[in-house]
Amino acid sequence: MNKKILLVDDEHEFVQTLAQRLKLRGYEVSTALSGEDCLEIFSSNPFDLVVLDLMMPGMSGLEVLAGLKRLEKSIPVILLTGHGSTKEGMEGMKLGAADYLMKPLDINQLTEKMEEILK
Amino acid sequence: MKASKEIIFSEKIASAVSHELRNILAVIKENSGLLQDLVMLGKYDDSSGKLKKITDSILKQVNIGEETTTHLNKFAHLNDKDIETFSCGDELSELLALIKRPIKQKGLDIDLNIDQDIKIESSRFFFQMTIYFIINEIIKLSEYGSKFEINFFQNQIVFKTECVPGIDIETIQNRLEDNLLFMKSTIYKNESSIFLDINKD
Repeated sequence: MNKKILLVDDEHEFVQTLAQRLKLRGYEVSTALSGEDCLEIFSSNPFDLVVLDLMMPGMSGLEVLAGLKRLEKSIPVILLTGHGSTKEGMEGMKLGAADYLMKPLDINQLTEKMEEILK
Repeated sequence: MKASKEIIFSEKIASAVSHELRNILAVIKENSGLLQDLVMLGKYDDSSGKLKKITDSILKQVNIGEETTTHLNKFAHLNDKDIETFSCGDELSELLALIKRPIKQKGLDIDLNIDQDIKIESSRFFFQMTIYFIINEIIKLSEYGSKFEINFFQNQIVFKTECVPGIDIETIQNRLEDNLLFMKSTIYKNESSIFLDINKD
């Protein structure tokens, strides 16, 4: 069965294109454009993994991460950071994220990490 | 060692712009990656217009990136002349273009009214830095999705926003003391607005 991924980023074009690329690689992908949407979608649908941008308008990525962990402690979350530094990613890992990646993404790196986590 | 406000200002601009550029590059990279995926799968037929949509998106992001680097280049040349005559409206617009990422993060809606533009002879770098520290306080204290107005009236720039009561104007005054002295300007507030008086002499 295809793994279910929730992809969360406020950049519409980024999220749609990455979703298409992950679908071509066999994943079942849902998208959310804000932290609030992410928590709403997540609370009523089962997912195997969440890919979450750290810097979004409204709820920050770290707030969303905390919300996801409250809803399902074991859900693996990969954080995306556009800051070019590891600080925010490390902070996220302390709060329970499985890993983090920097934007622009390398799709192979992302899918390798996803597979490693979903094993 | 404590960084000077000039360094802090430059760092903040570099951070805002690099974050913007990373997001632009991320969209370009995903779109070109998707094109590559489709080519690998032998999906050359563009009867659905999908390929055109992808290339349009790449072009759009390249244009945004080009605009962003143009603004950054102008910023890099702010100090070419110590003193020159400039339009406060133009400089304020340039600054807003550089910090559009943190403004977007807070979902702020800025209503900029520069009909009565002010021309002064001063330092463009000092002017932008002064405006930055005021706007940065507003960004920090604003509720998500709130509005603020920037209005030009004769020799005055007025920042009207709901978060003004929470802004510590003395800290801004102290931080910008030598800028204000150099620009012969004063800064103060009432319940709803921050005022930057500019001496044009």
